[in-house]
Amino acid sequence: MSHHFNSYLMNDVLLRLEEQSFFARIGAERTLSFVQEALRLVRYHDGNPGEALARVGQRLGICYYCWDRGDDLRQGICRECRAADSIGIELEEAENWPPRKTAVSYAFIRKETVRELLQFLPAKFTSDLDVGTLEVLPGNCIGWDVDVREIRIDSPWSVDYLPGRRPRTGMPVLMIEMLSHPYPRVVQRLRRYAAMLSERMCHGRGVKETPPFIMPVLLYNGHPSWTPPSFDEGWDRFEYTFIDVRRLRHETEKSCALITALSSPETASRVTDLDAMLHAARAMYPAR
Amino acid sequence: MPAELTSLSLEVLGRDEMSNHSGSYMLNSMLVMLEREAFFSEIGPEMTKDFVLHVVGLAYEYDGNPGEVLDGIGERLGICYLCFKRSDELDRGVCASCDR
Repeated sequence: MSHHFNSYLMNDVLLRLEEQSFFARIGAERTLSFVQEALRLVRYHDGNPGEALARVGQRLGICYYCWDRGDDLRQGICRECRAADSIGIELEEAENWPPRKTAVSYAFIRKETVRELLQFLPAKFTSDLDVGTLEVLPGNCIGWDVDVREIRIDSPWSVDYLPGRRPRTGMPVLMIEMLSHPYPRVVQRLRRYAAMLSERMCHGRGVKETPPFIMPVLLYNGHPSWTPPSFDEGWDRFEYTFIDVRRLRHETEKSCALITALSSPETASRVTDLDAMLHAARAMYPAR
Repeated sequence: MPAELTSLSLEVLGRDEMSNHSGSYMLNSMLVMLEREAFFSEIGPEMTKDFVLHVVGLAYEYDGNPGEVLDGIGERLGICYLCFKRSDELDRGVCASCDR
């Protein structure tokens, strides 16, 4: 969910291998096991295997959802996965929807974007916040699992309460996470990240220090429309805001220019398209 | 923002934030996988070097550490761990001129 660089890094390697006819040389069966091993590697390094399969998965006949060889792949998804009611697949959109999470992640280092995002959060979280105090927090590495495997969050922001409206909680921190492909265990991961961020921010502080008030926001801009699975009792006290950008665009009257831009297929698809995307964002927000 | 809140800001951790170590080691594992699949012996030494240098370039592009990408395998693939130049005479992954 957080190491998008690694997902696209692997995607570039797979594309290069395809270009060098590696997969044609080793045959379908070995290709499948090789790609599955590569995807496990991506997941181990905190990337998104779906992103790693972008473009190449469809051509190799490997479904980005189940990582298996599938029939009649459309947008990289096999027929069986498309038919699964639980993930609410909708395939009314054009084929070859480009992955663009990394560029979107960069959009959320911009204060204007985050300010716009706040309007879509529940009022109970945002009504007392002073959006003028939004500040991006330096660094996004919240720890390591083992050895060199870094755990990074996408975009952490601090924001203060409005004068006189400060409840008895710690510093509000907006933890924005981006997701471009459905991932069934995303809530567990979000919960883990929120805990790690809180712990990291309290590091070296006295035990009486109030921990930060983490407000996780999961921003999904992938295709198809999707909703994370809900959990039974025991998970319900973990609150987060889920926003399906494209659904939001269709369903809400509060839609704004940037959200619309983020959900359009013309939006930059790769990290290298960042300049074009930021140029578009700057055009929407003239210098004050 | 009040001072006590600012002081709680997420501190930059003790590592170089610009270096994507996990990506570097992911590429390193990928090279090991490709070696196991005999990819390099099939394409020959020159194309192997082209491929590895492409991967090293990707590591640069994605904030990785090219040295980590070649860790333990650079010598077998004919790329110097330090200068990333092609060389068939490497000693512990380092070419003669870097060794000097």
